[in-house]
Amino acid sequence: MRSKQMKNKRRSLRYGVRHIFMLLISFLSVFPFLWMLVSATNSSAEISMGKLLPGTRLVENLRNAFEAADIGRAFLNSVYVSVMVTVLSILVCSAAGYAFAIYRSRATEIVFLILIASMMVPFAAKLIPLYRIFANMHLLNNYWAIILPAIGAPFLVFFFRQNSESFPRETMQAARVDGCSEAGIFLRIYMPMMRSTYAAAAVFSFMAAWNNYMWPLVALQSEEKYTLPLMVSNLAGGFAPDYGMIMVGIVISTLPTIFIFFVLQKNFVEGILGSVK
Amino acid sequence: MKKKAVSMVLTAAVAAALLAGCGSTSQGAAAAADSAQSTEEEPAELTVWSWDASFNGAAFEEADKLDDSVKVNFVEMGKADCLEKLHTVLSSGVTEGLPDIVTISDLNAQGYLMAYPGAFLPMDDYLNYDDFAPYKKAYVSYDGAGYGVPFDTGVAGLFYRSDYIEEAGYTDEDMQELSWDEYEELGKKLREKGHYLQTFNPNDVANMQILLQSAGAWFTDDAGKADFVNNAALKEAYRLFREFNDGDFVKKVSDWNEFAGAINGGDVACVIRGSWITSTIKGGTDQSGLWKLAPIPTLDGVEGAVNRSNQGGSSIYVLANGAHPEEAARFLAKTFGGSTELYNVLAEKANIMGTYLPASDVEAYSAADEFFGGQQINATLAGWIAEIPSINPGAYSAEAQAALLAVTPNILAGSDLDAELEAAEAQFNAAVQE
Repeated sequence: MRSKQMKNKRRSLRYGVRHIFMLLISFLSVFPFLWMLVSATNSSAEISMGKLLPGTRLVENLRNAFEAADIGRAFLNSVYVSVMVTVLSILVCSAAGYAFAIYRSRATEIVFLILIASMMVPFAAKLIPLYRIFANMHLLNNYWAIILPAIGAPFLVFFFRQNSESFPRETMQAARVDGCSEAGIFLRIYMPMMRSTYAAAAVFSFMAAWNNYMWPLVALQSEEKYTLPLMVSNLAGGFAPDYGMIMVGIVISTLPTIFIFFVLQKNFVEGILGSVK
Repeated sequence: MKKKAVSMVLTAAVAAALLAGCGSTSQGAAAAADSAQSTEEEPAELTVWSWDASFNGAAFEEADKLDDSVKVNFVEMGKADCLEKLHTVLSSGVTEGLPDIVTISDLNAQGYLMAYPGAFLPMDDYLNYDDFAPYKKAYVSYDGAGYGVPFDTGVAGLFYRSDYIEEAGYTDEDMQELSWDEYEELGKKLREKGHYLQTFNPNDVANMQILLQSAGAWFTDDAGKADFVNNAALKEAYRLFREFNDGDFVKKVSDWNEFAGAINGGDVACVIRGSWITSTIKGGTDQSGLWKLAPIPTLDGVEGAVNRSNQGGSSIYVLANGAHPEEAARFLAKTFGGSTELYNVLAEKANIMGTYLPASDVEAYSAADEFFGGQQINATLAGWIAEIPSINPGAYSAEAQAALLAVTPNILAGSDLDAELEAAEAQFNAAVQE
């Protein structure tokens, strides 16, 4: 009797500690977002003085931000580039990942290793060669300069290859026996079955494209083509940064990734865990 | 075998679809670009890469109005982004997509001029460099030739709260010719009244830059070597910083946010910074009429030290391989290098102050500034510009500052100054070794 009570007590204590710990971690990860949202409603001087309560300057900050930069156009530019990159990269990378997993041979393994090794090259090292390549192709200041290098993402190929391991070979063989073509297996069986993997890959790809900064900065030459991160960076360029206005810009540029994540959250978690239903 | 063939066909099909898609788009875009170029005859479109639309952007907009032979296309980007992008494009050796004009911050300019010979157009044939503040000419010259068009000034001032210093028993006159030791004395008296003298951030080099340049000294010598151990101004600066660090009369801050907060929040009585700080000071709208401007304190006992200095500022450069170098150079000579009218408009509309000496008495500078108790802030600052000591920042200012910042905590903690400066010099030498 007593030992059971003790056990219960100990268990509730453990739950308590665990919850306090989780609360602390949640607070640490949510606080910057909260600060960002609150700061978007305050003036620059109030933010500098550490005000943490919502203020009344949201409308003014919004107006200033939209006056200072063409945020609407930059938003649409970002949506265009990110959606193109996401759609094309998951199509190409899933096909590649599928092929690497299903049609294995010594040669494909070597190619795959080279692909994985290319993940180790830091982007800064590729910046100048990329610039030269796209200058020769006369694609500078063109969205394809941003989209093309992002399509063949080694990480996504790796991700699809790993997840393809769980694709049941029996289904594939049954389809072959029934006369389905190899392309048909990929398009009509693999793709629908791997929905959650596609969702997870889409989140990765979209976030990477949306937040892409260095290469668009160098490759895009005119302001009409700027993506949102470049535009927000401009807001912060002044001698006297207006933090309230900058925060509004950051909120606007953060919302889509949060939105995409929440929409695909369920699939995302499944995709990461690599389960197939 | 069959499997392999199918996979290859599949891959090829996807690739073909992709290339077809992008090929047509790129051809369309290239054709559009060509047609745009063929209609360019007059006026020449000059592309400018710069930062801060309300400052540099406003300046080019006004300059554009004064010259009908060109049309300025101002492309804005963050300051660090602008410098980074310029590095990438110049190192790639590709001339397509080069702008005609760029702004480069003065402390970075020597690095670009050294690293990319031939990339920038010499301006000696277009400008009379004697028309500009001598300290600014030193920034834009390399190897005997003048490259940039000197632009905005960061002439340093001591901005102070007249109400606070009055509480401490000082008058505006007392503030005019302070030495740094007297300035510290003021701080101790202010502390008794519950105010701080100024902010202090051991990791911020702004105060150090102002101190050094006021004595015509810098972190490096003319050959680009570290000038730490025998640098009297630097040693004096560290003596002062030690006293700031040990005393209770400065407010310690760790970033720009806290720095600006201490000013706008009324914690500090004084700020010593380049003239551009006025826009931050004016963010504290409730303090209008309370601020005043005086010259910076003088470093006593350091040879050549005056109460004039500079912090920040940038200049305008023409790219020799841009589309219209000739037109760009003539445009800049006519406007930033020859129009007092331009500087008058810039002062009036955007509170911008240049370093073009014939413009140092333009009408707009004489406006009384109500925020500064009716003081003629701009006229006062403009009068100091020609007296700022010249320095050669070389290409390694950033490395020298980093080496010093690394030993600063030890110096402030009281370890031997000479030994620490020697250690910093060794670190600097290791960092710049090619």
